[in-house]
Amino acid sequence: MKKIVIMTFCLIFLAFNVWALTGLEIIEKMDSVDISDDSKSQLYMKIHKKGKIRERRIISFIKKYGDDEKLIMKFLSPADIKGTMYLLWHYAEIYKNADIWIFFPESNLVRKISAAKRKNRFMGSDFTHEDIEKREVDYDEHKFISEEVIDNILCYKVESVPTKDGNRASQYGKWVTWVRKDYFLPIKIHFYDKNFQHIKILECSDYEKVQDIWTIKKMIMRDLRKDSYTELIIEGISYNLGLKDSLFDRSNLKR
Amino acid sequence: MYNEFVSRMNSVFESIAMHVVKLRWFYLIIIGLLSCAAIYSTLHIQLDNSLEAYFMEDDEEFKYYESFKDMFGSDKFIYIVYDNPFIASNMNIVRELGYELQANLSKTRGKGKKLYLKKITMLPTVEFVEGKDDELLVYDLLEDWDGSQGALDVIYDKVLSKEIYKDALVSRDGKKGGLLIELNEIDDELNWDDSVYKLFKEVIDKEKYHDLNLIPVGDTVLNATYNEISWFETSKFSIITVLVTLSFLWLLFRRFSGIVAPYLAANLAILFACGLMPLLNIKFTMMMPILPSLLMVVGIGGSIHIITEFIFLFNSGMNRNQAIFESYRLVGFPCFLAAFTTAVGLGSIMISQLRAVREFAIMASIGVFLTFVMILLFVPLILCFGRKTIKEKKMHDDPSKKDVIGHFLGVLGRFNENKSGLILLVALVIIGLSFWGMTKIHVDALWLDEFGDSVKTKQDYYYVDRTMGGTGSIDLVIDTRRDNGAKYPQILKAVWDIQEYAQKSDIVMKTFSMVDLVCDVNRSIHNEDPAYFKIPDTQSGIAQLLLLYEDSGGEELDDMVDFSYQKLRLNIRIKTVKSTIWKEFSRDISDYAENRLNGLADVKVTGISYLTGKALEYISRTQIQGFLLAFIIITVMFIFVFQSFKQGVLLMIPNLLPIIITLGIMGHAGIELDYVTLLLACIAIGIAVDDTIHFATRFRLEFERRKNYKKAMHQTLQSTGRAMLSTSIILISGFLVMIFSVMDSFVHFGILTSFTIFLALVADYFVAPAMIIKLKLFGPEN
Repeated sequence: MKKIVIMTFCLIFLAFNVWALTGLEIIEKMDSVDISDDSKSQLYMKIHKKGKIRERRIISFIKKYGDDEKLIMKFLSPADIKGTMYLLWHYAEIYKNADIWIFFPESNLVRKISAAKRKNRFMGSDFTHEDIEKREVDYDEHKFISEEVIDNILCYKVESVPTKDGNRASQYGKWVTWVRKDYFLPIKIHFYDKNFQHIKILECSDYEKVQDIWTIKKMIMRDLRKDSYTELIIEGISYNLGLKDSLFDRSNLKR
Repeated sequence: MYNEFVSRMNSVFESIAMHVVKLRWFYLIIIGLLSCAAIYSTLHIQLDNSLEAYFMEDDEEFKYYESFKDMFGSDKFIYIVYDNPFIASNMNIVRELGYELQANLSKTRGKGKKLYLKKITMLPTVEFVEGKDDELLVYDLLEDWDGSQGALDVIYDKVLSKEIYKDALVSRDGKKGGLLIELNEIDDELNWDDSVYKLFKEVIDKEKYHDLNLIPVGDTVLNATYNEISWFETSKFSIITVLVTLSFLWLLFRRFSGIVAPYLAANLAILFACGLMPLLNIKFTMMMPILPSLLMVVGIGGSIHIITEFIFLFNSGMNRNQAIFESYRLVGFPCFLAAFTTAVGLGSIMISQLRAVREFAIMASIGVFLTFVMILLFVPLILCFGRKTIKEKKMHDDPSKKDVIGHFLGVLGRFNENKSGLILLVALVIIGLSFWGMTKIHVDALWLDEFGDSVKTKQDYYYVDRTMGGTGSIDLVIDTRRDNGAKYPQILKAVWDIQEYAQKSDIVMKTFSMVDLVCDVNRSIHNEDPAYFKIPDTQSGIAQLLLLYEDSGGEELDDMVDFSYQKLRLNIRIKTVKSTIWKEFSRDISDYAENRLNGLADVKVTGISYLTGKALEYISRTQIQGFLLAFIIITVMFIFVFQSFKQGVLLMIPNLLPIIITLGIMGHAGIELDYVTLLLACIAIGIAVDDTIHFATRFRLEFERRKNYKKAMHQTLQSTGRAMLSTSIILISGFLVMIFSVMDSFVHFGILTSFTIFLALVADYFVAPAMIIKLKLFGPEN
């Protein structure tokens, strides 16, 4: 009888280990939450530093082309940069930097910024270009650390370290993601630099199911070195609008 | 009335000596225990030669500078100049150097886990923005470099076409390169500069970098050098002072107690003063190396009066203990007055607005007080051990009558007897000439000249000044009084004009502001057309360029404008010049900026060089007040001690004379008063007055006994005059020790103070007796 009990426990234990997700599986599941082809969103960005705030309102369109992604953003406010537009083409290819075009309404000029760096601050915020880019899962090695409860939500804690190839394409030495078990979306990410010093924290909140896609509607990126943080609030979002390719053409910027 | 007061005070000091001798073991144990506690406490002394150590926390200029750093980030940096940046091999080595520095300085420190390193900017990794064929190319300068010299020559042309890199990352002739290490200030770490500098030196001292001829400058390098010199100089001064004073004490007394008593008394006072520093939360700043030597000579000088008297009495056949009590009765009170006046002189510097100077004054005054306490409590303890009486053969062996000094003092006395009128006439002429010289004296300083020529940091600063532009800098903060005001074209155009105006000055090497960034980006988005190196005409045009600048990786903006675009900074790099020159320049540029902005914005000048100049202004303002304060207190004390207004005031003349003459000579010779020599008058009056006190009180005592001026003078010269000579020699040699300093300011201070003490002795030997005899200051003779 005693032997049967022990064997039963061993089987249950093994079964749990077989069913438990690996770090890679968790990140892959997280990566596949957004199943949309395209989206349109109204963004409200608030950059906080030393008790002062810079506010920016942006309208953004994204369209996916396989693993590549095109993004167009237009500033609605503040008044002095209203009408300025960004066109970004993000590439899945590991060493290929994003292409960026900017339209300056004041001088009516479009300029391509070549080889913009992933570590550069995005619109002067605490997000970098790398933070807003889609990152391929296989650039990094993902290790499941533990299960933890954050704000009463059960999470997987996964540590991601860039692979040898992925290392060049990242400013970070590693990052640790707490992924909600229910929606498979991140709740918190801690970023470490190449010397493994903790430098930034991303906090996510206001999860909402929009057109069957679980969506994060508020993100806060804190830069521990600069003592500043940026709130990114999605005020409205809609998916799968069938956006035309021409919208993401360079020639569209001046229109 | 005078006699009653003085005899009462003499009795007090006699009783104290009796009490100490009676409880000798008790006092020895107490002093021993206190010494252990003081040694433990001195281990906690903190070094601090940063700018913060010099200014009071509530100083308006300093507070503004702190808020300036809060707005635009820490201005701590190390800047390295190196040779031949556009030789391929050097470019590779510099890249390696940058990476090694990056790794070594990327260490977190302090409670907030802040990094030492903010960023490193150097040619091999600098981001280059270039407009070409409607494309804005943003790339690392060496991104596509194939390693060949030919390709590097092309890059050379590109770099020198950009004004923003010149005199910063490359010299105008392209022969020198610059590497800038910007650092985070970590408030809660002690000796921050030393830690960073140590990590920095670990890298740059490697042999592989020697051929680059690395020349580092910057606030951190300077502070670390100051700290290193502080410790080294303190140890050096202390050792030399010990050797010099011990030699003189041996020559003077030729007996064990005569050396040990003054020497240990002075050292105990130094130990207790140093032990008090951590308890009083006073840090060891650049002024402090003077302290041990100062206390050593003052302490030994004070003890000498007691010991000279004791030896005289003991050799005259008096019982040992009686000789001690009698010595304290005769010179204890003058010793107290001397210590009091020295403490007042040094303490008068306390009114300074500078923290480092004020704290030095506090420690020096406390130290002098402690030397007196040790003379009172420790010297009798040493003197009371030994044979109770002198051997028969030495009895009545009066040394004053036979030796060279006695003979010299006899001649001196006879000269004073006969020529008192002439002496006073000469003194009056010298006073007149000195006052004339004093009118020519002026305050000016070049902080770099505080270092001697042998100090490498001084040579490095001048080298960087010559090759890469100014090592000094002042900042104009232009406050537009409204958010986004820094994006207004009319304000930026005014800043452009202010920069152009500044650059006309001979001392300005480079100016830099947000205007340079805006113009550079504007030109780049217009395919590098030089016609577009200008400020756009609209706020939107400027805002859009700034957005582009930030998004393409530009981080300079944080250093040049505050977060809400209300305040912008104009940095003016200047040559290291004398304070009066840059002060005139900063006043001129500030006036021009105010006129040009015409009410659109407020202008405020700040920056490290500006504050350094402020420090000098504070010292020069307060030293005159300090000197007057010391003079008044000491005069009042003289009047009180001699119980006569006339005697008190007239006896101050021999005290003032040496200071007036020294300052007069400085004026005639064109020697300027700088940070350290400004304190000369306050320190000198405190010390110079000591001999006058001993001389005048003894003269009066002898006059009361004999009622004959000439006899009283001879007797005073043979007793107190002898001790005065000894103390003056010790004081002069103690201060002359400073000529071995690597700091020129200390050398000048040592020479001038020694000279003043010598003059004080001359004044007490000639002018004081001539005046007392001629004016019959102590009343009629019998």
